[in-house]
Amino acid sequence: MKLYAFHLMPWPNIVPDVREKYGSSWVVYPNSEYDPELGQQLYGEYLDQLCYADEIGFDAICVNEHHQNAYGLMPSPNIMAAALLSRTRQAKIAILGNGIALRRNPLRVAEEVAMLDVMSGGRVLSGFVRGIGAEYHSLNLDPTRSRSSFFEAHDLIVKAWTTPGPFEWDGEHFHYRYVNLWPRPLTQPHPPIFVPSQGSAETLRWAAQHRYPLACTFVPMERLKQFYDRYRQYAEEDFGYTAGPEQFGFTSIVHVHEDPKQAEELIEPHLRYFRERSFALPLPIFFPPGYTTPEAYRTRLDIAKQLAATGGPTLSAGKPLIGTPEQIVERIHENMAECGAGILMAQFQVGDMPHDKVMRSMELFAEKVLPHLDR
Amino acid sequence: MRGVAVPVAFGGAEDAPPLLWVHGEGLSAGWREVHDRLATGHRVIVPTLPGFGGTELPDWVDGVDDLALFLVDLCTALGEDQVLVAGESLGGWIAAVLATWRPRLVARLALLGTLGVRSTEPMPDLFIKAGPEALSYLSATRPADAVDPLVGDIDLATSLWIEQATQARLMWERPYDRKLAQRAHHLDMDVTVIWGGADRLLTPGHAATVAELFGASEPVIVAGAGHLVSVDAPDACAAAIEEAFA
Repeated sequence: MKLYAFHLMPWPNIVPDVREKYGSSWVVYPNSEYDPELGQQLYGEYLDQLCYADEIGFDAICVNEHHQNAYGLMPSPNIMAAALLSRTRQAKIAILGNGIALRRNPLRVAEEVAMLDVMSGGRVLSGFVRGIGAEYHSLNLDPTRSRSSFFEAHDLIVKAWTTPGPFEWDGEHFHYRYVNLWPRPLTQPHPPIFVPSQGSAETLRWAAQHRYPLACTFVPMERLKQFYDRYRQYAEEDFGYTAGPEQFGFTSIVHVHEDPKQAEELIEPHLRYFRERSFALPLPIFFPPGYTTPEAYRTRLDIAKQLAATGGPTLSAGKPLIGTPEQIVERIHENMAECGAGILMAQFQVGDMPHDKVMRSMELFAEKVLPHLDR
Repeated sequence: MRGVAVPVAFGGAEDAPPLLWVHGEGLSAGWREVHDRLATGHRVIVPTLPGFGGTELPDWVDGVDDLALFLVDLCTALGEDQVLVAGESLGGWIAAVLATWRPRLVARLALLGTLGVRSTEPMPDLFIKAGPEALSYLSATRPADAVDPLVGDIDLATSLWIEQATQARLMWERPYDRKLAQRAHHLDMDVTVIWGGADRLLTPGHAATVAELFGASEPVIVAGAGHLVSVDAPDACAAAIEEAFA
């Protein structure tokens, strides 16, 4: 099993009535609510948390890309990756991922990831994402072109990494007379590529074809198993190989405390903050028209109805990793076995959880959970 | 046509002057009450544009100009050399572009609450609004709750979302046409601008900008009607079009 440390770097002071007052903590939540001085402190604390994950032996540290929102303050994951690479020694930096469909110039991503790969001696995992619907509002990009520009940007970047330049790129979305990367990546044939999935057959098949690991965030266990099973089926039937656990990862919120009741009580307000404020994402912002297929949208409407009834998104797949060290060791093994995943992306900081609380839980994890994990 | 099957509705006497109706958004495609009245004096042609009314959005539709040229193809296929054209909202934008490029095809032009022109009046972003609220900006009379995916008809909500996807393709990145102003002089036919007096999407102040740009006389304001004039006030709307085309 591989252990990754996942983080969103959220803003902790979203107003309680964000939905009523502003509609969302994304796109339209006014940036007068952002305080740069607190922002400096938070970046410091969040980086410390992730560097601690490196010290205690996590296999990778995850960064991600979101724009114009209070949910996650990493509009440029590559800047965060650069900061982390210079402060860590062992862990890989998993960029999960660069929103390559959001770039009018995706060659920039190829360049930056190649730089990170060369500078770090090959410590970069390169995730590619379409970006969630909100990014299309924030960056004024046509959501109906998201999927096709994602696939073209991917093809362009991989070719730029692997094919001697200069060469011409003539696509539907992008045209370059000269593709000729300086630097080229150190990792051969290129830095490992990860992709997330919301379960569309097209993406699952494509990922299986390329053997790209799936990194799923906030997907409930039942759906996660469906995604993985379809991926395995495509791998087996269409591409003639057996997909291993190293091709499946998912996020889970983790909170460790010696007292199981206290573990739950201590994290509950932050989970509520995350569901009610960070995740204030009305349907038209989350799923703008054309962002996905009509069939997928209908599924999403059903989920929205369920969420409205249950009060928010499912934050963890399987048994919650909130409890005593012993409980968590057992549940991690159970959850991983249930879906056949080999990568656990553990998220210790959630919503407005303060630094000291995060560190106490991480320290206990290092002391009493890590040594007992089947790695 | 061009690899897509789209419905075209016809009505009116064979020998009456042809009138091409270019529908807008908000589930307003297809034959409606306004067309019954227009068909008393015209041979009315009401195509459903690709990507609307449950039809597929083809990859080749990349902008308003593609739909304008689609209408040129349609007229050719129907053997129409010259038609009266009435376009509403997004359909007005398409009609204006059609008239810019094929002025000989367009005998006269009626623009109803047309999009496509930038004025100093603000224009709300309907893409970020939930279905019922978005629909309330388009019509003063339609029950908006029906398209609420949480409490209303999930099929209708999905249909609206599919149409909005087509609109996104056409106007997400820029909700108007920067070139329309510099090309406006190509519209050398008579142009009439018709506007809902209760339009919440584009106020009647916007109508004046449109009329001035296309050399039309004072806009005809239909009292009480919202953005989709033909939906909210079919009789008054048809009367204004009949007068413009008389």
